[in-house]
Amino acid sequence: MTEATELAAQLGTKDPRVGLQAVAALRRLLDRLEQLHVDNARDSGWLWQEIAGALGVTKQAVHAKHAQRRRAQGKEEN
Amino acid sequence: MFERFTDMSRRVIMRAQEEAKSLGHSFVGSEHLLLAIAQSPGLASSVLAEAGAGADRVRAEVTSRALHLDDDAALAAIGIDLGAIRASTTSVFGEDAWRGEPTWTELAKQVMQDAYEEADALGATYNGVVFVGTEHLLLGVVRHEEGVAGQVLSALRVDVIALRKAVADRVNDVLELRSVADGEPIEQRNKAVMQRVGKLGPEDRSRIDEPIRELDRIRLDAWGEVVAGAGRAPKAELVDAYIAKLRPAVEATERALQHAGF
Repeated sequence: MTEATELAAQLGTKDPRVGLQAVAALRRLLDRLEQLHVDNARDSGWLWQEIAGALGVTKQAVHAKHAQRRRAQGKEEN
Repeated sequence: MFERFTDMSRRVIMRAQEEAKSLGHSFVGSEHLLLAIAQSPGLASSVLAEAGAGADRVRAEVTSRALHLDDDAALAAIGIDLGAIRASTTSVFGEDAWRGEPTWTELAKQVMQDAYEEADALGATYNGVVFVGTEHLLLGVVRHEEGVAGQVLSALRVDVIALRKAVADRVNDVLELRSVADGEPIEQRNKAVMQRVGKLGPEDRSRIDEPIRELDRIRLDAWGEVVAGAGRAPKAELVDAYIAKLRPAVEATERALQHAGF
């Protein structure tokens, strides 16, 4: 265990600082995983609407969140 | 969104990411943006320094405020093994899947949205398009007293209302200086040079790339000094210093154009 992990274990989740930070970290993890799997789906030829359906969000939402990013990263044609 | 950001603002964004990384933080938050702004030459950092929030003091506050708990530890506390998720992800998608930039906090994303609103409200437009400068990023940061950057500024006893006013005043000073500089003959020559360069094809352009880049760099630096001195030194003095630096670079580029036969 790293020093920080020990610290977290000692503090426990009753400490709001740890609990809230964990939620924030989880959100970032989610962002990262979503990007990764959306990229994977697009690279495998999935349509935006298929990805939206699987994520349970609207097509507009998934497009707004990922299409421009993918273009900026050169992963998507215009 | 970043296409509306000035070069300097983009540099601030990149710098914020670097700051987060070098502090060992797995996320980029408002505090890293503030730290990056405080270190980037220009209007925003000089207003910050005058308000008692220079780069060194901001850095000390950010460092002391960090919880020293990285995402691995925070997630472990609620029973999530980030190491295992990372391992299973990289085993399928490769090491690169986990590399890349630290992720932005929701608040920092909001700050960037707000910066755009601030730019729009202050009428920061170029050819009718809004552009977001570092001063607008700063105004976005100070909107959020709840963020870590807000806590840092409050710990440094920065009066946010006075800071907002100082930014607005300095923006006005800079706009006035810009219009004075635009009336100078050397600025006209600079524009003419850039127009000639703009008409060149990529191959011709590459032949005079060096003086052009040098001109660009000198102009940006010299203008940065004008911006930093706005409101503190006499206008004529600032513009004269700017012209003195710009002139040789413009002349060198004119010679290069002539020499290349364009």
